Parts: sequence; C-alpha cells; structure tokens
Amino acid sequence: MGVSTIDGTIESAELRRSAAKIRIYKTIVFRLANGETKTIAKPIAHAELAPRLEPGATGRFYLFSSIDHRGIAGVRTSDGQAQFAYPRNNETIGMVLTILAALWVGLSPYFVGDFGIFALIVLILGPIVWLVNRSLRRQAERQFQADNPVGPATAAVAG
Amino acid sequence: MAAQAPAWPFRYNRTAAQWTRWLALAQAALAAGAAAWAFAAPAGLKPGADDPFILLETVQLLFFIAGAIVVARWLYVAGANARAMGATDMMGSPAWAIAWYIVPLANLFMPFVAMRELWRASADPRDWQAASAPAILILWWLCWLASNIAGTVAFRLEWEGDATMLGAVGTAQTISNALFVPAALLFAHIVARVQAMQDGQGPAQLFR
Repeated sequence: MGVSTIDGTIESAELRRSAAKIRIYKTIVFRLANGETKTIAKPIAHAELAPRLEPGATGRFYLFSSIDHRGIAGVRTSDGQAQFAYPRNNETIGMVLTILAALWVGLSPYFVGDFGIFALIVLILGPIVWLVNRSLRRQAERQFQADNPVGPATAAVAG
Repeated sequence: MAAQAPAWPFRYNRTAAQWTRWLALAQAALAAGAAAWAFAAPAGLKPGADDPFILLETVQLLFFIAGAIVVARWLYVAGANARAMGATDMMGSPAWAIAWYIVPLANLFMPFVAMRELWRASADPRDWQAASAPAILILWWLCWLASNIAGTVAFRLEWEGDATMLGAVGTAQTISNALFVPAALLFAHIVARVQAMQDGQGPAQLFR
C-alpha cells in the first residue's frame, strides 16, 4: 500500500472495462528513460484521467497501490499539463459496507433477533477497507501537490 | 555523506527454503500415512476418536506449527529479497504475505495472490507485473483450501461431541489429509522454484 511515480512514455494501454467514473485497464505498459519497460497489470483510473493515458503520453505518472489493487491517480505530461483524479470506488464500497453492516448489527435485535458472524466480519473489514483507501487517497493527493514545481493552483484536482 | 542503506537488503534465504521444503514433505508424508491408516485401521479404531489417531494428529499438529514458523520466515525474507532485486509496487510489506493467512475472508484468496505476486517478482523483478505465473499455483491453493475446509468440517463435527457423527468426522479428516498431500508437495515445489529464481539473481557472494 502506497504511492509511487513512473517517468516515461505510455507504450500501450489496453482498456478492459468502463464503468461510470472508472476505467479498468488490462495493462498499461510504460517505456522508461533507460529503455526498460514497466507494466502495470489491471490498473484502474478515474474516467477524467483516461484521455491522458493514451499511448504516446509522456511525463510523470502518479501511481497508487492498495492491497491487490493498483491505479493511476495523476499525470503531469511533458508539455506542462497536469491532472489529478482519484478513483474513489473502493473507498465508497468500504463506507457503504460499514454503514450497512452497522445498521444490520444495530437493528437486527429488534427485527430478527440476532445477527450472523458474516455481518460481524463485514463490520470489522468494512471500516478497514474504507479507512485504508481514504488514507491512500489523501496520501496520493499530498504526493501530487507536493511534487508540483509550479504550485497547487495549476493542477486540476478531481475525484 | 554516508551511503544510504537499501530499503530491503538482499538476505540469504536458502537454508529457510530447504527447511520449509523438508517440513512440507514431512507433513505430506504424515498426511498420506494418516489417510492410508484410516483405510487400513483395524475395525473399531476410528480416526479422531482412538488413541493411535490422536497420537498421529498430535504429531501432525507439531509438524504443522514448526512448518508454519519456518514458512513465515521464508516468506518474509523471500518477499523482502524480491523488493531488493528491484520489484516495486508489490502489495504492502513482506509481512502481509504471512498476515493474510489469519485475516477472515481475505484468507480465502489473498495468500494465493501474495504467493503469485512473489513468483512473478522473483521471475522478473524489474517488470514483474508482466510476468506470468504457472497453473500449479492455482492447483496448490485449491488443494490447500479444500483440505482446510474438510479439516474445519471434521473439527466442527468433533466439537459437537455427538458419538453418532464419528464416522463423518473420520471421513472428513481422511479427505482433509488426502488433499493436504498434493497441497504440501506443490508448496514444496513452489518454494524450490521461487528460491532458485531468487538465487539466480541475488548477490553472488551470498551463494559461494
């Protein structure tokens, strides 16, 4: 879990699936300055960032990884364009699971009489998924802002 | 200015790999023996209920605990070595490859994901996400999961303490043991392959 950057050129970006605000790629392959390639398998990106993740795009790419979940949250292209858009789907899923499990555990004594071990596990894991992804998003935002040589105002931040 | 130490220095891990393999093979032999004995045992002796089986289960448990300690050590160092060889953006720290085994629900798939990642990172550290992993990893994980599920069923039935369920307990234990054999053999093979890939790329002075 953490953030990192890649300086290079996108050699290929194979889109696997599009959801509302999310783009899921099969792979994105970067050509680095030293000639090596670096592949990011199954990365996700915010839909607003997708136009900047086309083959030929050159610059600095801001990556995040959370458990077995990787993605690209920001780009600074070599022509001076900057964009940050963090896909918040996992954070939202964690939050929704937490609320649903809390409601289930809290209200089931009044309606069902008991709650199962599954609800308890979700009540434990939901907040972890939520908080880990929230913390990662904030880390990615801080990294992107701090890396900006001109200033935060020039970067379009979304997500 | 003093040179900065690398975040993950490469460490000698071959001895831990050998112990891991030997203990996996010993556990496979014990499980095979237990499964065979369940079929060949004299009438009246029931797995999980009579003294010889309890003794065998105890020996298996002791080997399992020893194996778990050695596997944890090997996994941690192998994960750290993959990072030392240049693999970046791996899942969390090497400790997570161990911790996943005890996280509810996640332990159904994350240990497999971590092992697959370790294999890929050992095969091609610089571009590990492009590397492929062999099907034996899936086969190992399916055998491990099925063995654990059967073992859990046996344990739960035994816990109920219903004497009429002893036959079912024995059957579930035998299935668990029978499935543990390929799981342990495949695991020993995976450890050997990962270690060989890392040995081929680590600092030469460690392997003289």
